[in-house]
Amino acid sequence: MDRIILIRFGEIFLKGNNRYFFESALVKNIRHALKDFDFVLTRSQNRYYVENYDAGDEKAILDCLLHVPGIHSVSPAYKMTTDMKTVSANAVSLMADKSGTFRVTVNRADKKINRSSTELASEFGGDVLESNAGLKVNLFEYDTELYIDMRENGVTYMFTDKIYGVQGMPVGTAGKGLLLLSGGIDSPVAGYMMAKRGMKLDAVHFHSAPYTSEMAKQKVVDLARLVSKYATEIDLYVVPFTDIQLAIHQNCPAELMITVMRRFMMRISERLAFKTGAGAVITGESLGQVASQTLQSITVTNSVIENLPVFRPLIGMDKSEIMKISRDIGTYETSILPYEDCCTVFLPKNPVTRPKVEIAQKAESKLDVETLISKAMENIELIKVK
Amino acid sequence: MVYLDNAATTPMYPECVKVLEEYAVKEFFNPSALYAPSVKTAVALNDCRRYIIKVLKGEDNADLIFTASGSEADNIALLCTKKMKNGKIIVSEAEHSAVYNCATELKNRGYEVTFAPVNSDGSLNIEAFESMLDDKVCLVSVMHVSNETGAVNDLSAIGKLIRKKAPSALFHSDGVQAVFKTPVNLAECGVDMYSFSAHKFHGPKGVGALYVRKGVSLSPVIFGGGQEKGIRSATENVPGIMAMKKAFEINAERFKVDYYKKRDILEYLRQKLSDDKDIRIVSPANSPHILLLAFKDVRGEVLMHALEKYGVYVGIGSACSSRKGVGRLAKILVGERAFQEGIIRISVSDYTEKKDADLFIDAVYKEYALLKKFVRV
Repeated sequence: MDRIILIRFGEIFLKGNNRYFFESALVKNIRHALKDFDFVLTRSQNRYYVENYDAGDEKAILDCLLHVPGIHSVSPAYKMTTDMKTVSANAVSLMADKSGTFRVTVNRADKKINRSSTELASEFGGDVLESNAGLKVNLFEYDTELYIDMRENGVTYMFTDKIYGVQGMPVGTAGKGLLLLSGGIDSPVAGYMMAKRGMKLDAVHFHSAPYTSEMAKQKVVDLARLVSKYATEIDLYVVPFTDIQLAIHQNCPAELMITVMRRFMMRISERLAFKTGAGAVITGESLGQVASQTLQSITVTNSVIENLPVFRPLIGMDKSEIMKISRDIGTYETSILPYEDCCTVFLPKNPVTRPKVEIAQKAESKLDVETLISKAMENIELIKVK
Repeated sequence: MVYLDNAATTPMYPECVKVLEEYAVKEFFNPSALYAPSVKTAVALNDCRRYIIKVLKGEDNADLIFTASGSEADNIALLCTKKMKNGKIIVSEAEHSAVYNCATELKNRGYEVTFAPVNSDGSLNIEAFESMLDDKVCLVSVMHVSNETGAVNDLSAIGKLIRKKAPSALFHSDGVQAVFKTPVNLAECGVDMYSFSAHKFHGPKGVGALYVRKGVSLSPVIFGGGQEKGIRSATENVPGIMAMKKAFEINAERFKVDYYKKRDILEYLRQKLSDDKDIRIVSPANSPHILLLAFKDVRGEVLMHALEKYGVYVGIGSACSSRKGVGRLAKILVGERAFQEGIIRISVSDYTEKKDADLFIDAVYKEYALLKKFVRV
C-alpha cells in the first residue's frame, strides 16, 4: 500500500476545448510549487496524483499544493491493488484511530468486481465496525467519511480527508496584471485574489526615501514574497516617488495632496503595465474605506487611466473580510509592521473627500507632469521576487 | 563612508581579528579538558581575567564572569543576585533597555522597583536619587555613561551615598559606554558589579563580561558544565575572549591620546553646530564620545536617511521616535515639542578624523535646510 496525494481541479471542467490549455498551466504550476521535492505526477480521469514522494515530505507537499490556484481540493490517500482482503484490511487500519460516527462511500468503476457499490460499502463498513468499538454507522450525519475509489485499472484509492485548496484558476491562464503594492493590509489581498483567478502578477511600489525607510521597502519585498507563494514569481518595480511628492507639496493645494499623488501613481502604473506586458492594473481599493477611496476620489484617480482596465477586487468588501483573508494567506503579520508611516510630512490634515476631475487637473497644471513621470520611470529599481 | 554610530558598535581592530583566528584554528582547545594544550588555554583565560580586572582598576580578589554580551551581564546583575524579600530596587530611568526591562521584569515578580529620575542632559538626578535611598534598598543600578547622551555619572559619589544611606544595597553599574571612553576605576567607585561589552571598543561582537566584587553571591544564569564558577556554564568563547583581551591591550595603550582626540572632535562639532538655533545639543560637556542632537521640526529618522545618501551613518538612539509618537526618554531630554521628534545621536571613535566631522557638518546643514522646507503644517 502506497501513500499518494490526490489532486482535484474544479472550474477547469467548465472550459470545454480549452481544457488542455488550462490543465497544462496547472501542471506547470504544480511542478513549480513542488520543485524542491522528489515526486512523480500522474494524471488519470480528471485527477492528478502525486506519488513516490518521501513520507516525511507529505505535510510540506500538501502545504505547497494548497497554495496553487486551480486546485479545488486535495486528499492524502492510500493506493493499493484491488483485492477484497487488502482493501478491507487497509480500511480497518485507516479507521483504527477514528471515533464517533462514520459512513463508507464506494465508487466502483472497476466492472470486474461483481458486487454493487452499496454492497461493497456495507461489507467494508461492516469490517470497520467490527474492528473499532468506538465507531457507529450513520449514513447522513457522520464525523468521518471513508471513501473507497475502485478504478478500472485494478487500483483502489482510499482516503478520509478532503482538504479544500485555493480553488480559482491556474496562474497564467488569465494574463498578467500589475499590482500596486503599498505595504498595507489591502494590496497583498488584492494580489492574492487576482492570482486566484489565474492572473500572473507584477508589482509596483512607490518609495519616498528619505521619508520612508529601507525597512518599508523590505517589508514590501517580504509581502511580495508571501503573495508569490500563490502567484509564482513576481517582478517588483520600486519607483522613486520623493521628487513627485515634493513637487505636489510645493505647488498644489494641501488638501489635494493625496488625490494628485494617486493620479501620478496610476499614470506611472499604466505606463509600466504597457512596458511589461501587463493587461490590467490591480489595486486594493475598497469603497469608502478612506478619503481617497470614496466614489468621487476613485473616479478622479481612475480618470487618468485611458487604455487599461483597473481591477479592484476588494471594492465591495468590508475591512473585516479583507483582514480575515489577509490572516488566512499569511500577509497580515507583515502588513501591520509599522514602517510605512515613517514620515507623515505629506499627509494633509484635511484631505478632500469629494474631489472633481477639473479641480485635480487645475492643481496639476502647475506641475510639469511629463518630466516628473519620465524621471521617476528612468530610475525604477527591479527586484525579482520568488 | 563616515561612520558616526560608534555607540552602537565599532569595527574590530585587525590585531583582534588575528587573535580570533589564532584561537579558532591553532589554540582551539576546550579549556575544560585536562590535556596540556587545553590547560594552556584555561590558564590564558584566567590570566585574561586578572589582566582585565587590573586595567579596570578593580579589587584584586574580585571576579570576572565572561558573558556573550553586555546585555547578558546586565541580566545576571539584576536577575541573578540574591535580593531581600520585599526589598526595594532602584534603577535610573535612563538605563539601557537590558537593565530597564530587567527592572520591569523584577517589578512583575513582585519587587518594589523605583526609577530614579535623570536630568535633561541624561545624567542621574543625584538629589532625587538620594532621597530614594533607605535601608530597604537591596539593589541599585545606575549606568556609568549614558548611551543616549554620553553624560558621565559620578559613580564614586553615588557609591558613597549608597554605602551611607542604603548599606544593604548591591551597587551595579552598566559600563558598556564607559570602558575606554572615560577613565574607569572600579575599586574607587565601590561598585559591586560592572558590565561591559567588547564590540564597543573595537573588540568582537558576542563577548562581554560582568565584574563582580568578592562577597557578591550570584545564582546561575545558565546551568551546565560549571564554567564561570557555575554561574554561566557553556564552553568558553576563547577566541572572542582573547580577542577582547587584545582590544584591552590596544585601547589601554592608546587611551590617553584617544580620549583627548575624541573630546576635541566633539568640541569641534559643538562649535559648528551651535550657530543654528534650530539645533539643540542635548549632551553635556563631559560626554566622552556621544553628541545627542535635537533638530526642530524634522523627524530624526528622516534626517538619518537623508545623511545616508552621503555615506554618513548616524544613530537615532532609543530616545527617538521611529514610529508613531515620541520615545519615553525624548520628552525628558528635550523639553520643546517641536524638537522632540528630531533626535539623532552621533558618536565618534579613535578612527574619526576632522575631515569626517566636516563631511557630517556639510551634509547635515544641507539636508536639514531642505527638509526644513517641508514642515508639517
